[in-house]
Amino acid sequence: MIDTEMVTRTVSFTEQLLPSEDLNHKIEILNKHVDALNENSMKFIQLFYNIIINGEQKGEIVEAMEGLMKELQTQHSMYNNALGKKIESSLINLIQLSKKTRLKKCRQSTM
Amino acid sequence: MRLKLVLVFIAIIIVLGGCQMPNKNPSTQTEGEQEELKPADMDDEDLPDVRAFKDEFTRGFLQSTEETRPGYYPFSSATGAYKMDFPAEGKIGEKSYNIKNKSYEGVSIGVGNEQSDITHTIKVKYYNHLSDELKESRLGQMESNIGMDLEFEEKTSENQTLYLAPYQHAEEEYNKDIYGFAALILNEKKLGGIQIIYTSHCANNCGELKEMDMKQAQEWLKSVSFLEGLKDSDGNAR
Amino acid sequence: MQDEQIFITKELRMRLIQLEYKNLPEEQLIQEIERIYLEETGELLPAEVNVYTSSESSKLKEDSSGYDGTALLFSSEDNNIDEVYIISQGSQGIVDWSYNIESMLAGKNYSQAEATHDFTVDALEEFGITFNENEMDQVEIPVVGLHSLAHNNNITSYLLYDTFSKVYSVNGAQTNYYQLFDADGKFEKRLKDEFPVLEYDLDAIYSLPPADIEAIAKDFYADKAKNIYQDISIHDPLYAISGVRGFFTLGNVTPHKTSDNHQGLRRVADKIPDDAVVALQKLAIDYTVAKENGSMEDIIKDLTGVDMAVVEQFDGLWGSAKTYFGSDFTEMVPGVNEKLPGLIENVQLITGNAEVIFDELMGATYITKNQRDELVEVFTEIEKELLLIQESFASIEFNRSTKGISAIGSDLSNAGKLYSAIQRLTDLFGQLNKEEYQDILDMIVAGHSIGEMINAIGEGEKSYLNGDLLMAPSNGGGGKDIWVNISAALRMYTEGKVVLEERTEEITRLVTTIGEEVTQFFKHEKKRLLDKINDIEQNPSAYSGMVQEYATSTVKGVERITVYDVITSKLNADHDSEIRLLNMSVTDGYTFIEKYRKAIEDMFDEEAKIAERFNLAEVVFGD
Repeated sequence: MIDTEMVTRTVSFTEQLLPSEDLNHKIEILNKHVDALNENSMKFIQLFYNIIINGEQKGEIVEAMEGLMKELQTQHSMYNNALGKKIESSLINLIQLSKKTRLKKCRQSTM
Repeated sequence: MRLKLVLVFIAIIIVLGGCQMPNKNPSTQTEGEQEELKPADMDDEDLPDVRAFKDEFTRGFLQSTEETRPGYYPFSSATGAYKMDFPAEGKIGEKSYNIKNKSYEGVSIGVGNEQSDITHTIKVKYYNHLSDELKESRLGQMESNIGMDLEFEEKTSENQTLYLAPYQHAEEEYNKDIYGFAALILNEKKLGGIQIIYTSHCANNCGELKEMDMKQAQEWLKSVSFLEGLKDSDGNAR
Repeated sequence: MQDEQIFITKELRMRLIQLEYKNLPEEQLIQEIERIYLEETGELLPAEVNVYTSSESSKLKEDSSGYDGTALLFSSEDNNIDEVYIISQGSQGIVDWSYNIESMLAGKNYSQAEATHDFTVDALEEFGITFNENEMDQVEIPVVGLHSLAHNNNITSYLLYDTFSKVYSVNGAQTNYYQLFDADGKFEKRLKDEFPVLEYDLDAIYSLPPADIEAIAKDFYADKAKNIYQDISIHDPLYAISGVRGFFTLGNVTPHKTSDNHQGLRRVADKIPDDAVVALQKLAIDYTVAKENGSMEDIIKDLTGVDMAVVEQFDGLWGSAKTYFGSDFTEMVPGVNEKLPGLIENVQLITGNAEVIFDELMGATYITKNQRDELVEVFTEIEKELLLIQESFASIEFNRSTKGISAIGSDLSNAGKLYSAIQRLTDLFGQLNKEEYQDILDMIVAGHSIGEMINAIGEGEKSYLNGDLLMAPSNGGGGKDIWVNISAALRMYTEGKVVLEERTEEITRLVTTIGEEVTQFFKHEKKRLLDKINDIEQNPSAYSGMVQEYATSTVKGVERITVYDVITSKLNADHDSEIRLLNMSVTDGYTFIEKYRKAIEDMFDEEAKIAERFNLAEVVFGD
């Protein structure tokens, strides 16, 4: 009697489960907010420019005020940049979600 | 070669000249038209021997050597807005004369001479924007100008409204007897008005001359009339 | 009548005049007035402001004098304030401006002074103030005339009609006694009393000794002069020409040196004959006006009446003949006849006095030796070319109208001459148009600016920059030559908060967008993925095709599919920490504004009332 041998095999593979989607428009929408916030920062910082008009020799107070200004500027650019980066990274993740979720294992029966 | 070019050229000129020569040409006027030469274009010897014609600037405003009535010649404003009789012994102050487009014209006339018993200064200012609305302001300005309160009398005719106030300065104020009138004439047909301050300076015989002088001044005022907005602008629209 | 209470310092008045030139809409104008008052005094404007402009005035609707002015009523029952300011701008455009200067120099046409009065009367009526038009000096509240260039209008209006109770001016165009002789009947009578010849010969006044007339005028207007206040920069070109016969300065005059570079032009102008000064002025104005209108071609046309486009058609035989008889040429004739003789006369006045004019300008270090030589030469050449143009033009015109065809031969050579003279004239004007000369002109004109003047009166404690008020810190700010821009500081304080509010709003919008575009989408995708996984795991056999792709032998059946590694758990789509940071930037911003305000306050003594300015600015301009 010839027995048909049923062999059970396991095969591992990666497959995309959902169709790809273009998410660039979402990045654009979100970047508009980043731009607006950057512009707002500029507008804010600009208000502090030219309040103090220096002569040749700066005084302590003026230097202290300039220090304050720099601090403000750095802070704003840090915050805005952080947001920009975050938006980018979270969207890249999103894109990955749809494009690259392919991990899959299955049990396969072969002859 | 050159000759040929010149011939061609002349031919062109004849063709062009025939159709494009300007028609209106002052020096090719007919003889009939020449009779209507403006005083400004006439020879000195053809002009009346009075001060108004002797002064070249004044002469430019006079329309004819024919008197409108004894002692007056026709004057037309450079804006074309009004006309009036011009006294034979009058002279326009050239330096104070001013015209701005068609909107303003100021004419100041000095009348008489050193020997005159009575001399006159007549200031006539035309504004193309005067209207009833500005009346009070302008009458007030004339009062300020003369330096006394005035009673303006209103006389309306079909074409214009006249506000007229005679005045008399107190005799002790000046060396002479000074009197005259202020007038505002508003055009009833369109915007525009004329402000007039007429001043007489009487040195001698004032008692007997003054009444006559004032009558004459008021007669003269009647000759001031608008040319614009009137149908019969070349008739005697008095 | 009590004195005015609002605009009592020179700085306030000058800044108000400057403001008028900006032609702001009413609401903004009032806000700017409040701001200026606050900046300068450290106090709130104690009155309501009403604005009435000449463009609203029905009386001036058809006015052609070019008058432009703004009337301001300040009123407060509580503070017992009721006062009117009339800011006369004088002229709307450069053309009117030029007309004003010209008639002012010639001492005639005072229609803008009349319009000033008309407007003031109209404004007082509009403001509901009771007064008698014939007794303007009896108006119960202060009516103050303010102006710079329009000084001539306001002062003439005041002298003639008592329009104002006080007149203030900066770098004003002065009064002219020839103009007053024409305009003011009372003054006229006074002069006639002295010089009876004026009764019947009005031009005679120009032959009378100017010093005598000036003395009479000053005496005649002495009472009114008490109410006239002027600040004059010795660098103002208007001041320079005030030495021209006819002008006289009336009132309480404070001269100022507003620039260290030059001595001003007055001494130069005083050495040049009056008619040459007038000619120079007229040429400069006409040239400037023409330049406003456009190209060099336009300048030539504006100044001479010659249309380059027509002249350029004189190029070759056929074109020349056509142009010669064309209507374009005919149309050009009246313009040339009107403009060219006057221009030549003016240029000749300059060339006739060229040595004096340009030597003096050089002596006053306005121009260098090389520039002096060039200018003398250029003007001589301009005169030559203008005469050539006049000559050839006149002969063409004459021949065309009298001889017709027969003269064409000689006329074509005239046309050629005309053409090349115009070309050379263009080059000469080009030389005058060089940047180095424009810079000198600009510098001269700057002497008229209120900006230079207001700086000069600050006396070391105040200064002005583009309309902003600068103050020197009481303690020097710890350094040398330090200024605090008070206007900018107040803007920072009030606008800064507005900007931060906008920032908060933007952050809110961002959060909304993240919710819609990221979080929602993320949830949705996650669900789709899980559904799919579920389906695969529930129905493995349905996916045998997929499995087959990866199997080495034929797949007979799929027993089970297990999906591993659900990536979703690793995804981080939440922006909370970034949003927190952004919100912090707003809070920090408010703190920063206050810190900065404090730092500025610390630079000044209490008397400087800086803290009050910040507080009040917030009340007035904050939301």
